[in-house]
Amino acid sequence: MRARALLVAAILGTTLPVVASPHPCAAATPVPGGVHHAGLVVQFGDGSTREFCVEFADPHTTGLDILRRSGLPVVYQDYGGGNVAVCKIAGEGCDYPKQPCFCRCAQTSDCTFWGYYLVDPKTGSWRFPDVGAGTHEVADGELQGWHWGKQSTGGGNPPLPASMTKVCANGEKIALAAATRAPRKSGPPVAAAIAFGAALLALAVFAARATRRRGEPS
Amino acid sequence: VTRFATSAWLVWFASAAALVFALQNPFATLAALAALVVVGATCARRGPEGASWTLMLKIGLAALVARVVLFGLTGHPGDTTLLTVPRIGAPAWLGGFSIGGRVTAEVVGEHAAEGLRITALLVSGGVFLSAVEVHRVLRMLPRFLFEFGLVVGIGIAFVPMMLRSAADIRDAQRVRGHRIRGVRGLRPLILPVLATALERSLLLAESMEARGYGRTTGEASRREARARAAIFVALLAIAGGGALLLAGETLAGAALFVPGATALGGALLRMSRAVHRTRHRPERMRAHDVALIASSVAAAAWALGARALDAAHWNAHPAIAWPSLDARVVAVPFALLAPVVIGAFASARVRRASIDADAREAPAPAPARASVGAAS
Repeated sequence: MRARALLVAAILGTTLPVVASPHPCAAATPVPGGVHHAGLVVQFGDGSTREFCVEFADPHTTGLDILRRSGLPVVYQDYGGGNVAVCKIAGEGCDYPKQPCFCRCAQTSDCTFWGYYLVDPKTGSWRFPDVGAGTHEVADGELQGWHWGKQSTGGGNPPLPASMTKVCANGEKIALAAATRAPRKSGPPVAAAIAFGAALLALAVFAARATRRRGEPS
Repeated sequence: VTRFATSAWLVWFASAAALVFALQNPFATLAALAALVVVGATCARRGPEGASWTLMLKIGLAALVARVVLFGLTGHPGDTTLLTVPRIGAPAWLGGFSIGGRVTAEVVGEHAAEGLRITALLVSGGVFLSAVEVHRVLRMLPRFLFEFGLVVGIGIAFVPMMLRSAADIRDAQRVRGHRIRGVRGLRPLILPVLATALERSLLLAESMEARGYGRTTGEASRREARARAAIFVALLAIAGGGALLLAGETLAGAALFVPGATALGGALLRMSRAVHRTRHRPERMRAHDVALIASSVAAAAWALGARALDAAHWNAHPAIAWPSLDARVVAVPFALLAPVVIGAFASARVRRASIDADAREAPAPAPARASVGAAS
């Protein structure tokens, strides 16, 4: 008994300080509650680009959130745990879920997808981040790029060079108050819903009766 | 209750799995799961052999709940916030993941739908295993795998025997006043169970040897050794060719892969020809088995064709919306009820036939009574 209590105490003692420590990315944003800016460059397959300067306040805003706030229609696949793959931006890309999200990836050597890049603050050039857009928490003044083109697993095909100052001077400005919401689709027709529900209910009753009948000694 | 042939059940199971795989609309999955539960409740065998589908259902639902809770707390994409829970972060050197924060309806919906599909797949396998006898499934293996089938069959037969002997030993120890306390108290139970199992396997080996199992003449064993060597080389060629194909070397890969696959097929065919087996009480295909196979194949073919429809797919992101209730997609899984429906028709026909036979054998007594009445 005592050994088990000691073990629990040891595990809690080693993990609690880790879990309770503040998030490192939260520290990157200097004024919690203030308005921050993130730059966004989207380069399409034909070479045309769209630039955005997006305001955000939540310190947990992710790269995917910034892309969605630009107002471009985005289709993405959720792998769980915040890991997403972006399949389609503004009509270019893969028609997930009807197609696989990486529909232009026959082999790893010939793979076209929406590559996600960040500007390295030290060198000022694009780098391929080691986390996805769904889990990367954006810092104030960070510039991110999306490029539809032939990519390798380590990136290797970033958008054209860009800088945060130019993007926020010339790009489209997205105010904090701008809504992210995608347009809602209407639900199924009521008659069909009632018929389907009735069919499921009938099956459930049938299964329950069959189970009860088999439970009795024959 | 009508019994279906094992091969008919196998086709039904394959069609259920294909249907769940092809139709990703959550309403279709729900319909498939309901149909599978009804089939399980009516067609499973009695006793512990027929209980595996309820076990699969429980495992699937537990995994669904765990999946939704875990992913709901760790992923935050999506527009519709269900609730916000306190957020705990881990430092970057631990991956920088965070638990808590915004729980969105999109994440919950997406992973509940996926969990439901996994549950339906598990339950379809469970219903199949509950409805058939496992040794009959093993009998359907191709002939060159018959040693493997024999080993699996013996293993499966051993499990209930071991459970029974474990229960016997526990009872015997309890009569002697033994009480199970902690890990050390298990020793007087485990050792006799192991000893009985070893004894039983030795007995089995002796009886198999006495019946001449595995005895081959010189020429046959040489032929088998050659076939095994051919299979090994063919597998090497297939593996190498496959790796080259994946790396994009199409020509060299095909040059290695195609002869390898051909050689493998030939060697397996030769080995199959070398094994001669007779069947004890082979299963006959009757009309209702053919009907089950036909309806299963039709349902699977329809479902694979319906993948071209938008209604067959559903993505909860970025803003959750009701899945489509298109009947071409949502009504198809009810075809999985075929064993129940066809079984009911077949047993009704059998009952009617036996009533007719009774009527023919024993003429109704009514005319006799009528004649007595006329005489009086």
